[in-house]
Amino acid sequence: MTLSEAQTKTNLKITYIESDDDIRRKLLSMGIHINELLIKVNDNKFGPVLVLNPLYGLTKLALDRELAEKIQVEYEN
Amino acid sequence: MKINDKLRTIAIVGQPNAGKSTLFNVLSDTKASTSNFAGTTVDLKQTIINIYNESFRLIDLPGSYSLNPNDKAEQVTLDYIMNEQVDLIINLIDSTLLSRSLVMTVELIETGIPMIVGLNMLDESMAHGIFINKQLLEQELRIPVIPITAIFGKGVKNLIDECSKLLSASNHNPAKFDYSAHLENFVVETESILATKTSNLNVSDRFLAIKALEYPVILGSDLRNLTSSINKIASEQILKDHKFDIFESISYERHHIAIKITDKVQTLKSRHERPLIEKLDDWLLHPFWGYVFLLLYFILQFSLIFILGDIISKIIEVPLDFVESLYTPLKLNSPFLYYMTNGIYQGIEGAIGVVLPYLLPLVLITSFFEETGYISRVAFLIDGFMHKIGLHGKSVVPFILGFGCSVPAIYATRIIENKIERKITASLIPLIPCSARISVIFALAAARTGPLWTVLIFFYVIIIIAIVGKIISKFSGKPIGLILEIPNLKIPSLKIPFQKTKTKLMEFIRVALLYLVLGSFIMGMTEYLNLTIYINKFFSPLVSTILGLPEQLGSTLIFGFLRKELVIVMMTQALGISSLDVLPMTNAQILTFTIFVTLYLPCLSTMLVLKREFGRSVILFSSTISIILAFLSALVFKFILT
Repeated sequence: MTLSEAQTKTNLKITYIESDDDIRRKLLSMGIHINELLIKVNDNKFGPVLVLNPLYGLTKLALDRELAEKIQVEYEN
Repeated sequence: MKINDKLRTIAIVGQPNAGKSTLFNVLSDTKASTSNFAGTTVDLKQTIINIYNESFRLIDLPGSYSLNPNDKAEQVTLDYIMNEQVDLIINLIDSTLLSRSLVMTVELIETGIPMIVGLNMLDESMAHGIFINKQLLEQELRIPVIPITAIFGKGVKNLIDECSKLLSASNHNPAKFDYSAHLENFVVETESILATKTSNLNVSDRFLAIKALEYPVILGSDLRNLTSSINKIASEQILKDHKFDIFESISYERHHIAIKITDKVQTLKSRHERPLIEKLDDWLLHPFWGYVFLLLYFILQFSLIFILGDIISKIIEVPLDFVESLYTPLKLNSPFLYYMTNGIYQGIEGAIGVVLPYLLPLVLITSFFEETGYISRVAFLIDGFMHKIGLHGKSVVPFILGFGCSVPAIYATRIIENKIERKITASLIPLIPCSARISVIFALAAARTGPLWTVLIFFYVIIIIAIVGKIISKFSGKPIGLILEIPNLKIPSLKIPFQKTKTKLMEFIRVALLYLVLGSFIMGMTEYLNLTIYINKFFSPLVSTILGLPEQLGSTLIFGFLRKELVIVMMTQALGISSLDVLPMTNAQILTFTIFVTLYLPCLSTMLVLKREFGRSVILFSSTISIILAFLSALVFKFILT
């Protein structure tokens, strides 16, 4: 499933990122890595998805919906 | 400022929102703009500081998530580190984001430049249950680590002492972080290839070798050519072994180095309950309640500016009117002296009595909310709307800054990666009412026709920007995805909003007041010499015939191009009235004129920045659009209201 479809307040593991190099580089530098944990904090149907990388503290990242649709995730307990 | 080239250089480097500009302000006497959202500094700032009787050049570099630039602001940081003689780096780290920050620290250590880590916001991280062992971190990095709280200047003395020690030390020996064996072998091999060529860059061969493999586009063509064969071999081999490309592989390894260090030096204390501020943040970002709070925020900000502005304006009015009455008798006895005095005084009166009462609460309240971190939440909430009008979500930050001043907003477009989107955003920024135009709107429309009309004007302008954005974006392709950091919500210190307001006030006195007084004086003289008649006649077909406004307002439009506030300062003179309270205009005329002034032409400073950043084509485009929109909008207001 995509990050956009995943439920909020759940632990997710990123399995695949389908995007061009620029976006992928940006995601990497901001702490979005394949095989790592992500918490989907909030889901604004009219706008971006809010995520948090627990390894990187409490700062959240807003990813716009189109981008969230390109990030494949699976639930992680 | 002219800076001596021979001075040694200290550069403050770190990720966005780590507090670099705050530290720069504490270390120097300058007042660089700071706020609690990423992207406030998009160009380098420099000043001279004195450390124990030696002068140094202090540089505040734009925040960068890594040394692999993704936008123009990050490119500025990398270019400076690589090409300039940096003698010491102060790597400022947000303690609440230790592992993410350490990824960049590892990269900075690889440059070989002497370095100190400033562990900022330690109090805040402890409040969140994050404890960092400073000694252990020093052992891991083998560089000095100084805990500081930049906002209160805490620990800054220790930082300066450590800078002094390191600048006089002959050698430094930071930790070396090895990559996994096959990657490390390629790095060593590339380093030996680079050693055959003398480089005049400021960074180590190891750093260049890593970049030649990881992200060669940032190197010059000579180094790229020299390492292209090894890059090709390494890329193929690493992709085969790691299943990730070489950029991603290096990024992962650096990320794991940072996490390993963090695990050793950081302890997390379990929290029984989430702090109230985190719970409040859930509401502010909520898909429904977030918008309710956003609406309340706009209402609160608007009401406070209106109420405070009105109170201040009324208090100031009494002494200002009294001073005016002192020289009024001159009009009969000595008209020249009267027009000269009145010209200068109207400028001062307009600036102090009309513009400042609204400008000061606007800056104070906006700075207060900026400090809380709420502005990033606004960007998050309105990103969907920005997409609807075909704009990149990142345009939100420059757009929000545009409500303060178009100049920093246009610079802030540097955080937008795509060139065409950058140009579109910059072209639209002059349409956003800046603080000068907001003062005009409040002093004219709100004070004379009522606050509801002001809301309508703002709403109208936003609709106009949305329509224009939608039309232009048809030619620009799809927006790139938004990736925006939402920093922790903070209880703001009142010190910074007041400091910012003071800075803005001083800037207003230094720059705007001069324009206003000079403009008003010239206006007084043109009136005395009866020259305004010709200017007004020239504008008469537009101002009087088509828009139905008093012909005398024509001359104010010329001055408004220099500074938007000049329009209202000039109005009293042009119309020959003592104050705006006795404005001989109907509500329809006031609103038609306000919307025209709000939209017509970017001011001179904005045009100069547009030219510097984008060239003449964007000025021409933005000016043409704004004139057409101002004209059409004024006509719409005229026909609806009369």
